[in-house]
Amino acid sequence: MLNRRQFLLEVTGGLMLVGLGPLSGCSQRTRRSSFLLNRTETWANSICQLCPSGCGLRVRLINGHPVTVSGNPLHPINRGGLCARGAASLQLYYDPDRLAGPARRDRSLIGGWAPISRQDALGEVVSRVQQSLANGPGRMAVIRDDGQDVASQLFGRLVRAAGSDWVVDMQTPGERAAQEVLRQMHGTGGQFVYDLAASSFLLSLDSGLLEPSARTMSLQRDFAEMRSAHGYFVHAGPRLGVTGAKADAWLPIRPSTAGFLALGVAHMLIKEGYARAEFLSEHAAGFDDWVDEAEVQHTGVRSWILSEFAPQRVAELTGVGWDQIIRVARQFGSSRRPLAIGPLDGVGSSPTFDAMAVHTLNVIAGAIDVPGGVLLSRSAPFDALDDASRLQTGSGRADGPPPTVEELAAWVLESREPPIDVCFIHDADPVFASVEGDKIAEALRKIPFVVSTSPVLTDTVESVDLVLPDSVWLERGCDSATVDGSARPLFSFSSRAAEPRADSLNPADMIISMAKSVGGRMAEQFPWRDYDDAIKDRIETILSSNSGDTFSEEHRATWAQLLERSGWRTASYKTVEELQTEMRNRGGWWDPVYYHGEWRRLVPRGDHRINLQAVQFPVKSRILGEAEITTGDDLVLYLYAELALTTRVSGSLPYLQDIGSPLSQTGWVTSAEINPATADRLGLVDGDSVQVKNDRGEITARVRLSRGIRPDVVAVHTGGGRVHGGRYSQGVGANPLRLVAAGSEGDARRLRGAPSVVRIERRA
Amino acid sequence: MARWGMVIDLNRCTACQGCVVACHQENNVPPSNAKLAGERRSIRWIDMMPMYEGEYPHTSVSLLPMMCQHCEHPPCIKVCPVGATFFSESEGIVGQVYPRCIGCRYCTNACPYTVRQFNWYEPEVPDSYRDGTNPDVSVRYKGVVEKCTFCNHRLMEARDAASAEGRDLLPGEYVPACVEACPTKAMAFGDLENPEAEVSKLARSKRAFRLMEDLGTEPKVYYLREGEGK
Repeated sequence: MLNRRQFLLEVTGGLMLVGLGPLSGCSQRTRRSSFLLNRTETWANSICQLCPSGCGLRVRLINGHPVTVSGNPLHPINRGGLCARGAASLQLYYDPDRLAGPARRDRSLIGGWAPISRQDALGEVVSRVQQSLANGPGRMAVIRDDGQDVASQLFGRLVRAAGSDWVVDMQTPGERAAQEVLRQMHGTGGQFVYDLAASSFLLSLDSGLLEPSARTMSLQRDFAEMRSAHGYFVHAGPRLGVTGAKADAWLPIRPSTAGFLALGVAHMLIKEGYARAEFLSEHAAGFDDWVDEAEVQHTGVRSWILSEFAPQRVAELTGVGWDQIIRVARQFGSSRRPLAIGPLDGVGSSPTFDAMAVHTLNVIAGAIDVPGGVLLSRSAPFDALDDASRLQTGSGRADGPPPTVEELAAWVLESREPPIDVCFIHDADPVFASVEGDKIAEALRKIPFVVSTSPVLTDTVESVDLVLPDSVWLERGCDSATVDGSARPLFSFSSRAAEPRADSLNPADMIISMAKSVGGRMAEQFPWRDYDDAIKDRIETILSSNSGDTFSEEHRATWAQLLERSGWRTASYKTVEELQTEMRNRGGWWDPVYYHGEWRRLVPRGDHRINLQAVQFPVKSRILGEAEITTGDDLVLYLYAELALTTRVSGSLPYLQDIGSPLSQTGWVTSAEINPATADRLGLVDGDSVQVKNDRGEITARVRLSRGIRPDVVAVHTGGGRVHGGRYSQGVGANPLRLVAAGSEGDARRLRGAPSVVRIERRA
Repeated sequence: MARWGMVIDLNRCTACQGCVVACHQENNVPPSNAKLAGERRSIRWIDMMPMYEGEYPHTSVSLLPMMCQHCEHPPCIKVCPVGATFFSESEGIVGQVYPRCIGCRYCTNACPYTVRQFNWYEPEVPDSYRDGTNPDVSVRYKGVVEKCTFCNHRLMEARDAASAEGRDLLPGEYVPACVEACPTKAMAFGDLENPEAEVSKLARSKRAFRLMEDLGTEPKVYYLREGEGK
């Protein structure tokens, strides 16, 4: 029983606690718990593998469980930052619908899968590979993401050792187009890198610069540097998008006309004397007209551009005013460091022509291999592991550009008997990501044995025979060989950061162990004990190259650059073990210097001059415009990528599904973005559920009105519409690739393709 | 006395939303789903706000990262009947005590920046996610309001670490998760009272502005205007 004094003391004390509580912060309870809980906090390095950038991660673990992830401040690619994908990456590790372990297709069971022990699964793969080798050469294939990590390269090595060239990388049309430009105009391979940070005038030709699926971090960081240095930015594209939102000016061109605009700007540069004549005479071939040894007259690019791409003509093709074209060309030409960038992903364009046209513009502006221009990646001091001595020859396909997954599917479907026995699918979901997804699924079902390493259920997994789930990157040693925003090579490497949450395995270990079990000369192609041994081999090569340094703070990296340019080095390691330890602690190794003017590297063949002849062809392809739209209700389908939804496993990461587009403020749904004038014409309002359809199919989407889109266009983002998957991915959104004709927007090989025209109807 | 504040340079921001997801992860924001998104009831402590200007084809749009502005004179506090939302005089941070919140949503209506989030449903968090819960931040439940706290649990951790070493908190030792994640270094954070702090200098630049300044709320989030061409 309380007396009056005690009661007043209790109440007063309680009120004081209530009053003081807020002043000590809102997490008082958790603050106290941080002292009381018996917890151990540790940090580990890892590498984000959700896109080819390969950003360095710092993972915070509490009692061994990863709880937060941040960027590795020493990593040259991201310098401590993270994009939305990297920040969401822990959700893949904790995905409630991850595959629990190896599984074998058994259609007699509910769900269609039967668990299988890892040993039995590996045994079956070995037996199938042996059988394939016995059947003859070239009867294996691999479909993989990008081939930048050791595991992907070992898959390629296995397939090549079996005499097959079917090592298929799932590149975007834009990436393939860039390779085609390098092949045809430079006669080499590698990657184009855009030195945005030093550019003073950036012309984005439907580039999707700030929404790319690859090289995200370098582009974002360099873009910020360019803007801070007062660089001017013009974006041309049918849709404003995030890239256009950050631009100083927007030119709403018709879809698939970026290349024409580039040549229109080039026309003005030539006509008004902005073309860099000295650069062109030294480093370009085929610019001026010439007479060959047989005294035959040839038309150079200069004459072709002057005759075909006058501003008035380009205005008709692109749908923007000729006065705007002239103004942009003058700004571009008079700029100290101009740079043009074409479609990076190319999901909504005519990639090869656009890429060649944009590269030609950069050549005419002298923006190749100069600060603020287009650079070509420097090679790392080690070779990719793809190349193997062939045990057998005969691949079933002729030499040429790297094969595409669509070509592989066509070859399989055209053959009476399956031409390959075993197909591996690593880090790829081609059934979902290709415009010919249905055909690819059919081809995979025709191949006798298909193995996937996907850690989650995907549309492609539904067509395979065996799943050997890959450990996600926190659970295993991982690596990435790439280049930074200044085209300098780097190799990231990390050890396991957290305990596996599924019966998964490192695919590199799987390949090495499998090759050894196959035995004979195949085993000889894999001289490493395991993944760690292969990594050590690479680190030995790096050490013996006597170049570069481990990742370091920016000021130390600048100092290392200065020294290396002067022929000095300050590396703090002498042995492989020391280098490996430093790489593990710091995140990796890089060569921090880019040497300009290495024209033998940029154009290895002939006279080391860029071949401009490759871009010439008559402009007689179909030009998209109002004239071709037969009725007022037809719209041109424009596909674009959303940064959050570009990774293969975006669907498994609800944080990414939720943020969707920053412009339309929508997640978990596919938007059909149209101009308000178009909506008025069609009797639609914002939020309407509609069917977007053509003769190839139909999808359901939500109408989003935007003043930042051409009235003759409907824009739909890719990344939605997975038929199979976990709770966060299956049936979310729609896949607009199903509306695109095979061999048009998605095909880098064709110079220009037929546009996809669609109709929109409100759902009943 | 400190006045923690933030400056966001819109020239450097690329709207990548890395800050949004980093905030979600740090603060145990539960995963959303199609139903919540359709009802516009997903929880987001920081979000991108598009601001369109002009008519087609002369359209431009600015994308502003929006979070609690941590006003010096916060309207949300005046309307809270139970003291669940409060202003820390010593730090200048507007906080929220979840156990006190009765879910009346007066504060969400009073906030002119519409950045307060109400839990309309019990959060659906799969069991497998629970091991990844950040133990420094309490989870919320149906019926309470939540919002950006400038990651003040990080402030407490940093202050504890500094006091254990017998020294004052140093600049840069306390930054919210969004600032730490920003890949383009578009966000600066620090004590606005310290005239030498970078954040303080940026807040005084000619490009700096605050949202709805005429309301007299005195936000402590500043934005730096985009380039001349915008």
